[in-house]
Amino acid sequence: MESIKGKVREYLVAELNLPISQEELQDDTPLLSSRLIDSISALLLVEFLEKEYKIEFKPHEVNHDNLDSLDLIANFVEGKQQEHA
Amino acid sequence: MPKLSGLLRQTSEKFPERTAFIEPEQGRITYGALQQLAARLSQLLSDNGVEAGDRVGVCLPKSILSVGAIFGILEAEAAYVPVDVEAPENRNGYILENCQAKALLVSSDQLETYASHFEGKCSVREIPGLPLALLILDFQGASPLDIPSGLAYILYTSGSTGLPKGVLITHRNAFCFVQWAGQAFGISEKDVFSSIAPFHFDLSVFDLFTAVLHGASVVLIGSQMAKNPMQLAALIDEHHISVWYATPTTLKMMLRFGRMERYQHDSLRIVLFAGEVFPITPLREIKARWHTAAFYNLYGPTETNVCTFHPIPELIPEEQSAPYPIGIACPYARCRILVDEQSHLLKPGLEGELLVAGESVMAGYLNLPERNERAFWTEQGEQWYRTGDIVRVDNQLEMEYVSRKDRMVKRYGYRIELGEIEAALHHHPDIAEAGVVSVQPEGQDVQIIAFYSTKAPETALPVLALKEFLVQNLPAYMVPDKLVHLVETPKTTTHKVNYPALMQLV
Repeated sequence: MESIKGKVREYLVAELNLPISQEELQDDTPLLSSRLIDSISALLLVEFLEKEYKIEFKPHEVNHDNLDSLDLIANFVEGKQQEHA
Repeated sequence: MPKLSGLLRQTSEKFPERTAFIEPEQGRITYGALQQLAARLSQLLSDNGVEAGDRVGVCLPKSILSVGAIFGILEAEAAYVPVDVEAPENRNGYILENCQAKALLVSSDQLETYASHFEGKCSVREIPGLPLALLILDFQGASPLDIPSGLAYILYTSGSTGLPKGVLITHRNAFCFVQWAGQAFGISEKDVFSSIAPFHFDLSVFDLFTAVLHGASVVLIGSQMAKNPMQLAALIDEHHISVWYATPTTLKMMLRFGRMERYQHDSLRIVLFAGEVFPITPLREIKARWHTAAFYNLYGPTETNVCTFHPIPELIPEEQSAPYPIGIACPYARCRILVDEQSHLLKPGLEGELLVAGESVMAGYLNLPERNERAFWTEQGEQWYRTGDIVRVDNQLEMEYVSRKDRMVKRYGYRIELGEIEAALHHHPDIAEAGVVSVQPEGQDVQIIAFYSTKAPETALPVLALKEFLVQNLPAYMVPDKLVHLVETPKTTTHKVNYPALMQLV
């Protein structure tokens, strides 16, 4: 869980140019609803997660409920990985 | 002149059992049942004092119910005023007060928000069996508004002073476009439309009324789904959609992220795009993929509705590198070009501001006499709407879009006055000054960059908190991509924000 959050945090700040530092980005910081990332960046994040964790989002799973914070992202990724385990 | 509400009545008599609107994974409604829903809501409005010419707000997510609300309002001979359910309550509250709405149809979960926003000026009517309520509004004492007869709806667009402005559209204005589009694209009851644009955006006029005129079915796409290219791509095959109307931004997102290779998409017959320039490379790519469809570029600000069009050729030649023109005038519209405060008929090589006259042009902005004065060019007693778009006339007498005359930008097809973002920043208690600019790097989308200085000059504001403040004060599509703190905002000699200097800092 923590390693997923760490990796995603790094990706968001370094690759998606999030305007805040890794330290400021808390596990529950809202990402989409706060407009910290826009809808295109959210789709890039989905691509990253799919590649990095060898999972696939179903079309309806690309939403705020699964992507709006590091906590939600990590939960979703873990759930997907367990589905495949 | 036919009224938009009449379209539903006629079609519901002709095709009572045909599917009218579909909410993916939720349900569908037939034309007969939709007419009944509209009649019920219309009766409710009349029973509560709504009369012809009154304005009624619609604050509902895209749904069968919201379509019923729109037709119910029109059936009551009132004008509908759609607001963005996701926009800040203050902005929507301003809109409803600005048009002195007589009532608001609002979803049950937002009822409390608006009931308390208008505390002392409203009363609530629950609507049994439906997840919405009617808020009766009373703006007593406000000065009377000049409302044109036959008003159908008011769409609010971004205003440079910081307040949105209401574009008054009559049944006549809308109907000429609705009727032309049906003929031009050969629409029939066999078609299945997508409705991607929200109802407060003018692209929705085609989805709602042209479809209903011909008895076609419409798949309603809500705001979250509209931003999800994977779902959009899946919907086309699932519902055999034949008419697809979207901004180039949406189409580009579908190409990039929609996993398009997984689908057939061969039900598509007509693809329309509007709202912004479509660069040739992605257009060529999507056209090759959607080879069963004819493509058209449509152009027109909210104030004129669609007023020009250009069919995209079946095969885009290899050497074509410039975007396609916005085209020629629709039959109900006329165009002239304004150069150095003199208007001209179209002739090859002419470049200047596009003026539009004709049946589709708005009655004016609501209650903004000075703005209306500037918005129109009068020639021999006729009013021509000044689009603010600079166009060039090519050798075939088609118009090409060149640039904007002012600081308005387009993002995701939405109009944004940068001044509205500056006004929102100025409302922040710690901000002293703000200047907002936009850039569009080659091949990328428009980026909005806000520069600000603070009352305590050395102290930058936390980005997250500032973004949250802006989310509460602006529609999401207006929130800047970047927020840059400056110790001092550069000024011109006349003490205005020096925008060229800000551009240097980008």
